[in-house]
Amino acid sequence: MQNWGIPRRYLLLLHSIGASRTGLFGFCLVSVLALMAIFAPWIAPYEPTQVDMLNRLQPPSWSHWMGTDLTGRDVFSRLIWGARPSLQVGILAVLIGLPGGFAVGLLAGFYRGTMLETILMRIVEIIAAVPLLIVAIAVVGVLGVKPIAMGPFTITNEIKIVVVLGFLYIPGLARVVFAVAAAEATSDYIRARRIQGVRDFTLIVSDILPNCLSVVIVWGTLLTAGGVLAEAGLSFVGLGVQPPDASWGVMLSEARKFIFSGEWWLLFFPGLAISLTVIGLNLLGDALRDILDPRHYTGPRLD
Amino acid sequence: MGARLLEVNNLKVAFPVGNVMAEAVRGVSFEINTGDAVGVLGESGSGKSVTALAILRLIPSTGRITGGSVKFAGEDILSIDEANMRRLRGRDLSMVFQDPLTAFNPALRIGRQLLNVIRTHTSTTVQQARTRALEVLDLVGLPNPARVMRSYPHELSGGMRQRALIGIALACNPKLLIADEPTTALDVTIQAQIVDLFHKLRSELDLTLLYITHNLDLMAELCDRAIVMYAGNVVEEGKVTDLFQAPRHPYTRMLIDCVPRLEDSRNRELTVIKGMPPTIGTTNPGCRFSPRCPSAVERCHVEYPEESFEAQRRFSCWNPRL
Repeated sequence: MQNWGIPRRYLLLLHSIGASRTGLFGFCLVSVLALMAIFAPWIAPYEPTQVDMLNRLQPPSWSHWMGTDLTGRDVFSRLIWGARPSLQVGILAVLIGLPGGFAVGLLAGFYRGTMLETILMRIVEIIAAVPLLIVAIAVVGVLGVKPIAMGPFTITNEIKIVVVLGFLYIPGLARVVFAVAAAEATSDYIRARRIQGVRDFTLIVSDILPNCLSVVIVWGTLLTAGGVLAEAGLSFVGLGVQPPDASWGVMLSEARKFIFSGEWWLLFFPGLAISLTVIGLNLLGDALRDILDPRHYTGPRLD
Repeated sequence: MGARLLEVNNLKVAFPVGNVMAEAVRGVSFEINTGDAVGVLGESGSGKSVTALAILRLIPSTGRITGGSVKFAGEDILSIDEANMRRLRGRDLSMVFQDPLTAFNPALRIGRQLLNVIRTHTSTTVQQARTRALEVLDLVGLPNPARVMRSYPHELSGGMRQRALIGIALACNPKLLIADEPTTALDVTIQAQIVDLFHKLRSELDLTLLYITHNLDLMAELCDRAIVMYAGNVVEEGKVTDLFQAPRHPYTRMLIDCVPRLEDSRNRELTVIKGMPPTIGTTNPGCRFSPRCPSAVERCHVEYPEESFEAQRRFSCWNPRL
């Protein structure tokens, strides 16, 4: 098999995803979504903010596949552009939460039973008790929805959301990493590596960390879905992406007024997009867990 | 005979059983000179492995070294600080384990694990470390060392894994190699190859070896001297040939008899040592073997036997076979 320089295990991973029907479905949904977000300027037939008052509230047709909204903007184009903030928030929040979750989980797991573990894990529990959306609303409420200029940088509203979400992801990630790290830390090979005189730092970073990767990949996928939902929710209540920019939450929010008047396309397509995204990410996460966690795995072997 | 390398004196290790500390190693003493190959023989639970781990100061975290001393190359290693101890491990003192599969991190390539050890203990460039790694894998008889470096542990066979593990143990030219039942998890033909490898390494590297096993034949082939342990005590020590030909302690005798021989008649019943070794925490003022010993006398049950010495051997028994 020609592999274009891609390591064999990644090809096998793709192959295994394809072997489970639901996993393949999830993978396709997420891929389509990602392509939509990346190539939005080229795919979208209209500008997402282009107002056309003569053609407002048009039902789906050949020129506007998903109809037009109150100000005549093309729903299909806005839907495609709306994938961007969703995925940005979903993915960036996980990337911000990862280092913290990894650091805390690895240290607490490796030094299990020590003071360090007690302190770290109790702090994690305190953070875990904080409800995610409420804090996000509070932070944006206090800081305002306008971009804040800080020297050469501007902190956009999305960045605020991403940072808050990422921070609140730390407890969940820390706990899954902790569970794996604690189990690995007592395994024979760690004892063997100690006998070989390997430093604690090396043990944590180069021995235990790679063994935690699979659970983190799975969790990261599932948390991304959470981020998509959070972004939609915040935009819906007006604390996320600001109109006229496109976001699925903003589109739903604007469609509220038309629930009973028959313009179904305004509500249906953004709702569908959010649902499919979350379903896709969850299916992909489940499939990855089945493949990466040998205890749950029943399909072809990956080695 | 080389200089004294390891001197274990009255070593005691205890583990908590319920809420009392019970001794798993009860005053073990022995010495190893540079270039020696010493076997440690005993049943499971006799304290062989714990003794080895105590020498590395790596007994499981619940246990404690409660007494005695371990001198390595003239230095009391029970009193040096942890950082220096860590530098000794894997460099001067290294160890090979029973199960070469669980001794490797399944997620890392062999090469990475090997380079890690080399670079931890020596200040070499990556390139030098690589050269050394290839050299060491070649030394332990692995064909195509470069490929082994790129392999994950599960991609190698049991014998190859054990060779690779021995390679890691030898990477920094250790002064003492402790092998804890290195062939137990392997099949017989591979066992012979590994023993041959140890032979070769001994003659080529002047390796000092502490070989823990319950396989008498392999030990006899490899070691000059052996220590027999029972329930945390050294019951007999001597040259391997002496132990085999004229064991003084009844336990040694019975261990030798337990091994089935090809020339035995088919109808001969296999010899077993009746009873079980005492569980940890059992207190018994006399010889620990006395409840199972066919030649036990009154005194054996009440008083621990003093050590008797003969030319190049010692044993603890009130009623030895002379």
